Amino acid sequence: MNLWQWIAYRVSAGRISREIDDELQHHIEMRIAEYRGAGLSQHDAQLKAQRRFGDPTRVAAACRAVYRLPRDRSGIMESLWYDLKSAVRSLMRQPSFAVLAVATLATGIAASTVIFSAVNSTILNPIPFPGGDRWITTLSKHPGGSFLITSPQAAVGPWRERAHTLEALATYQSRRYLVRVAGEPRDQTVAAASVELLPLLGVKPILGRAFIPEDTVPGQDRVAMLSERFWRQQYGGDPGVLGTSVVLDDESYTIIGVLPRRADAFWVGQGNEDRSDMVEYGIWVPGANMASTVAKLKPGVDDSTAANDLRQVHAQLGLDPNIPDGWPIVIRRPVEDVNRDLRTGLWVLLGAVCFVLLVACVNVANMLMARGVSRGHELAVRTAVGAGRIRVFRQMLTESLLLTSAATLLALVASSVTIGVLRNSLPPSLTDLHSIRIDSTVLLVAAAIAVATGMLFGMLPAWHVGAINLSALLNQGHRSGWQMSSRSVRHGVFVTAEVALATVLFVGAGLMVNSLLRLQRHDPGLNPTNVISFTVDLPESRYSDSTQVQTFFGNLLEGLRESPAVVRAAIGGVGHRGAAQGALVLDESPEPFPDQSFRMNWVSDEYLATLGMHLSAGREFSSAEITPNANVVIVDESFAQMFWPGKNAVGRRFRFEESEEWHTVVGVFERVQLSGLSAQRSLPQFYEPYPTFSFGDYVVSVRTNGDPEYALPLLKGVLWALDPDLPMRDITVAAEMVEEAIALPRFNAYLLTAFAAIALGLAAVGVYGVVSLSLQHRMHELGVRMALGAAKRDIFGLMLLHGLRPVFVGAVLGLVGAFGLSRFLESLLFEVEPTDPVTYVIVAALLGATAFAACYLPSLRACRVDPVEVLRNQ
Amino acid sequence: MTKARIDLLQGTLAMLILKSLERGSCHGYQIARIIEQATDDVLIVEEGSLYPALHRMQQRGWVKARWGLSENNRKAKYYELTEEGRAQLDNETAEWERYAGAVGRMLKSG
Repeated sequence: MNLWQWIAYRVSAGRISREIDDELQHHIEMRIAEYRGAGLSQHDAQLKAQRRFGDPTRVAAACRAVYRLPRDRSGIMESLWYDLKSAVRSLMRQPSFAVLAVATLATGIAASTVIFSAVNSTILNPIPFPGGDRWITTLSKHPGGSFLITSPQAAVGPWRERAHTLEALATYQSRRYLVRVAGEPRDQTVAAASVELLPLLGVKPILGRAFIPEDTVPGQDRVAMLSERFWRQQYGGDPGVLGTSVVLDDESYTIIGVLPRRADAFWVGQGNEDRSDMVEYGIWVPGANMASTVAKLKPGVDDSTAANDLRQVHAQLGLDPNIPDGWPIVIRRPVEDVNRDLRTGLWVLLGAVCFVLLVACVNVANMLMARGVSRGHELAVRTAVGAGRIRVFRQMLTESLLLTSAATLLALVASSVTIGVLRNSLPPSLTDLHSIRIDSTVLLVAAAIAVATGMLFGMLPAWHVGAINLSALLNQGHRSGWQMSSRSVRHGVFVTAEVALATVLFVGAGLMVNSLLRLQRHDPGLNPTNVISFTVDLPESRYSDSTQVQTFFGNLLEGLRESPAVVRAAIGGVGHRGAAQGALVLDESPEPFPDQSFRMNWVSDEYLATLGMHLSAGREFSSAEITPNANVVIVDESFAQMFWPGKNAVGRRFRFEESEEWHTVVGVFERVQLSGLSAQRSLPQFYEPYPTFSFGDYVVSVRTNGDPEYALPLLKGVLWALDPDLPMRDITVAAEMVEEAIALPRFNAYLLTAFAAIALGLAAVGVYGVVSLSLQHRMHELGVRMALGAAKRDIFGLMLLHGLRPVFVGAVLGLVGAFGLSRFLESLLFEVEPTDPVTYVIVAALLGATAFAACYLPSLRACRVDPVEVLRNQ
Repeated sequence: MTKARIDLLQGTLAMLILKSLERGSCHGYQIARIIEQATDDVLIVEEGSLYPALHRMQQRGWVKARWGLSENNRKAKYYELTEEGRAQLDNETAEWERYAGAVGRMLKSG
């Protein structure tokens, strides 16, 4: 018989056994009938038949033995089976313990799985493509000034052919097209990718074919690929989509393939645009030379080697004879930019869940030990009647494994549910967290920790069985003295550890909440009420030179300002739009400052007034200054402070070292700080009049005199009166942006608070359990004390003190630990010191109150001990 | 030596059971009665051996079982020969005759 037969037998063992009994019973009945037929009385017939048959139990056992495994194998299987059965039975005897232990472990495992999964998919592995850690993007410094811009398109071909540090180089760009899907026009972001991009990503189409070089040849049929999401949403996943066409801006494109979902991640990885809706980038078209580059370095090549290599290619070709060294090439790592905001918060949360997992394990260890103590009697009896130490060990082990496997299963369900809920309830600005997936490795590791805890502390009681004096224990009965002082000390240690861990978490949560409250009261530096922004793209076909652009926006602003719904209107969105880098030279000091990064924006007159920003010195641009060569700037206070500390910056001039163009400061403004947190690490800013540098799309901000949503149709009317074919996109209400800005700190604070609450709850359960247990074991002692005249108050105090002592030690250790650890929170805290005394005091008070509550009930029960009853029962 | 004797006894019992099932399916009691009657009660089948033997033969695939209604209107387990069982019976009968013939010749000689 093989293992499967054995399992089959195990499954049907009950039935087989019943059938054998039935069969034998039938035989005896037939025999009785035979003897009755021969004339015997019923009684004699029965007696004779039974004597003839022998012992039916033995016969039945012999029959059943036919189905068993040979002894060597069946021994293990049978005893495993037995262990499992008795473990289930033993856990069912105390269902509250089993439920509590499973729930505790599951909480710890699920929480750590969820958070680690988030960390894994957003920080550790944000670019889910092979070799994604070797990706670079190349930027160049604009020769005329200090802007970082995308690398010159003429360079891409030579780089691809000659640069020996690159494994692959692709270009891409997002474009906006008017797409007609099911007859309806929509403004669609289209992913334009060079033929090299998909091989660089290592992505193959799930349907149809990928782009080939011929697709980009002018005059050929235009082709497009769809993203899987777009394909499923718009075409219901119909494979017949291949060969049909999609119309982009009145041009027909033949659909040649469908890309797997993974490809979407590229646009997330590039930190591009609005990622909340991945139907954006639903259509891919091939292109030859696009603005942005992504390159994959050969293994082992570092950034500066690659930059030198690229520069040399430039020099050899003399791409730009005006600049002998070639354009300064700057290499950026897309990975570094991805999820920068999330990082610190997630690391902190990860630390926090590790604490929660630890507390859960300590709690379960505590419960298992407590259970071990109360089972001392049972174990001792088992040993006394001949169960070997190994046998007892094995039973405890089976119980622990059963508990932890149940907890792991539950955690798996809980974490997938939590991730699902998180994905759907996160604010849109935290889109990076929308892509998180359960990480199976983490689930396994967390479960392994739980199993180890269960095994270790589940078996300790079994270990002790060997060490105790059996006869003494059995003589003493239940109020055993064998859990000696060392045991209660150990329980104290568990409680101390739990409380310490919970305290650290609680201090962290307290600091975050404190900081969140301040963030919510923070002045963002602008008045967002009734401010709405939108983006206008001017197609190059109709607005080719800057005069046309300037006239258009002049008219638009004029039209908007005349509208009855509008208070003010200006070009320029909230915050910055561009970056600059360079060494600044001031009028008064010829020595250039060290290289510095800046943030920039391009704005019109009345910009500061429209957004309700504060001007601290000078004035904003006049409408006359909105010309290409005005050479005026307004700077923020940190800019002024950096270069003219303590002096009035207005009227002063600066230029970038490599440029001869001087800029005159006409005004100083208070910087917009949507979130107090980002302000702490933001760069100095300067704003220029908007047509100085043409971007093709412009953000227009309008302050309306009522709810901006209601004014929107009027605004659209103004725009379309000027040009009926211009879409108005990225319509943003400033108040919502301000609200969004603290979404991340709020998320962190809420989650950390939830973890702290879980840890505190677990610790409270631990304290309660230990005090209850010690009450159970000290019943006799308390009875004696009361009989000898101890007042109820004294008993209450005694028990309370007993429970609170380890809590006190734990809280002190926790506060000290928090003092040391909270500096990791520093970058997440706004106007709150990591050592904020108020937070520590509040946490200590809350902790004390919880611990007191946890000790109170069992201590109260201790007062109700009836000495007569206790002493009689001994 | 002991082992050989048990094997022989078991083998013989199995052969008798197979033989008694040759004419159709029977339940355990009927098998015992057939053997007893056919041998004029010379061979008494011990129930303690009969049933384990039946289950073993079922495991080996020589007989198969089904549940039916017996003559006292009660559920009973009926056994019947499988093809394998029939072949086994032929084998064992031939083997037995060879053995019995050899023993008989030896006893008649001399």
